[in-house]
Amino acid sequence: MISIKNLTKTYSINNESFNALDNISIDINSNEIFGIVGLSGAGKSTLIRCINRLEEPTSGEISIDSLLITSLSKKNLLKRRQKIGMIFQNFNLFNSRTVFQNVAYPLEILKLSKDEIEKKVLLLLNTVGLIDKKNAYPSTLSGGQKQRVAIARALANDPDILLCDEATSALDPQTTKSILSLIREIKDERNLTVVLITHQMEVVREICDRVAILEAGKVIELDSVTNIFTNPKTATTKDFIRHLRPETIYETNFNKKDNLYRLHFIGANAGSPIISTLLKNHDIEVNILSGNINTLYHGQVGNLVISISGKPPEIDKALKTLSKLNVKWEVI
Amino acid sequence: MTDVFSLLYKPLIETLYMTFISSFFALLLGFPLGILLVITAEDGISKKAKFYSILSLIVNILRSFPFIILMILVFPLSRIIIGTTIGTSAAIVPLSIAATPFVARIIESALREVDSGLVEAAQAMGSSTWQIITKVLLKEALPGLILGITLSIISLIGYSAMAGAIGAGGLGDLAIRYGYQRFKTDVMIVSVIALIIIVQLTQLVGGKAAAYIVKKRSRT
Repeated sequence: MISIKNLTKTYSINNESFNALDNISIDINSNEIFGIVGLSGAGKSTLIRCINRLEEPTSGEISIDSLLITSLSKKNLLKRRQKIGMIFQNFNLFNSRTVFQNVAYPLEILKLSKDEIEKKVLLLLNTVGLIDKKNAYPSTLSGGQKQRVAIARALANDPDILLCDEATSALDPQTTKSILSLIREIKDERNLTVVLITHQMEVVREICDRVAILEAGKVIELDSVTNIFTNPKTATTKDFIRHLRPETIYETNFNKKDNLYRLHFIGANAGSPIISTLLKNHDIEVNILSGNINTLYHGQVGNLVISISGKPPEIDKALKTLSKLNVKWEVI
Repeated sequence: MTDVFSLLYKPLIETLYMTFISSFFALLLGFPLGILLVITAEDGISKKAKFYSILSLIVNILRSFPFIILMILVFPLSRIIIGTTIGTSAAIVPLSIAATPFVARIIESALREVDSGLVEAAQAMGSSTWQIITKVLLKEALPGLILGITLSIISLIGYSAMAGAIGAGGLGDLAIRYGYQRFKTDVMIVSVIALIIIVQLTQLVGGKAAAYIVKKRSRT
């Protein structure tokens, strides 16, 4: 488990100091994929760099499985870093080294024998599907291939943690999907704890278990991805997922006197015929104004905006039926 | 004309000797200084603000000296190390010292070209400072370093010609004594052409070597 306690990072520029991270406390469970989302400048990049102390925290504590990272000596810190993989937005592959030599680097600095290194590197290149590129130099690879090499390099020394710093932000949507599913795969295979920062809610939707929303150096919301998608609490979070759940309602679509409701479906509900159940059992009319379904790693969540017209007692009954069917609803 | 070429032989060897030996020492001293400047700087991997500003100041002061003044100042040092202040070997001491701060800045700027992201990645993998220097900075900057070293050698060829004025021998000395003082224009032209050829060859070799490495790094 990665435990972050009261973490603060203060920068001072021209004698004015500001908190990039402001008293942050997060517990990241072992073997989960934890997302940290925020706009640029929110502090997510600083936060992920504090975990392996590429950035030194100003105050606060970070521990990994009860090892206090923030008080490690330089020598012990280097040793611990060797077991924390990290991948980057710009891949950061060594241009002077071939694909093979890039993946070999973390093993070279441990002074492993040539045979051991070769065995391990070839295995890893097989895992990421780039064995035929082993003698190529990074400058000749596509973005997706570069990130695969970077992942292989990050895994070379069998880390227990993988830090992903905007790892898919420079990739097209399709490549992003393939990289994310690779990360999922290796996380399950190797029991990794993955911490990823991103500004793309699509990435969170695709692979995260839990997510923290960061704003101005503070955690403003932290929950399971399912809860964040069905029931975002802050305006910032709503902004982040807005384009993933369109709900623009044009005025011509409805009568202002209509009763508008937003329904949330989670999991199995998202696929069941709830509206037709309502219509069969109650004397009401339903007009669907907008709706969508998001496929998360942990199943589907749906949103539906409807207007219900009919006699008030019938509408009340219909809403009770919704609650019985485990559909959350709210009046707009 | 054969006369001119027989005149050329000894100064040519002297110039090559001075350039080669002083390049060796200037690189030996300047290379580590350049590395120190990079790693102790504000954004370096082993930041030491005070050390950096002092070192940077010394380098700048040494670089501001006109070469001819520096040579005269370093005469006593030549006497201690070589035993004399006159002659080709004696010129090596001021040449090396004059070129050292130049080399340090050249190496520094070549190493600064390395993408800071690569250094960060190496740090994240648990590399020591020494490993980052040897396995990342020097390796990644290799083409730039080769071009920088080439530039340093070429400046030393120029410096060594100037050293001729204070009795160091070499092609510069030949051009001044025969061409300028005795009005033998042909000797002057030949010695200048010889210098041009040496500079061109050095540039060619350095340029080719750097280009070869760049090309190799785009192998698929």
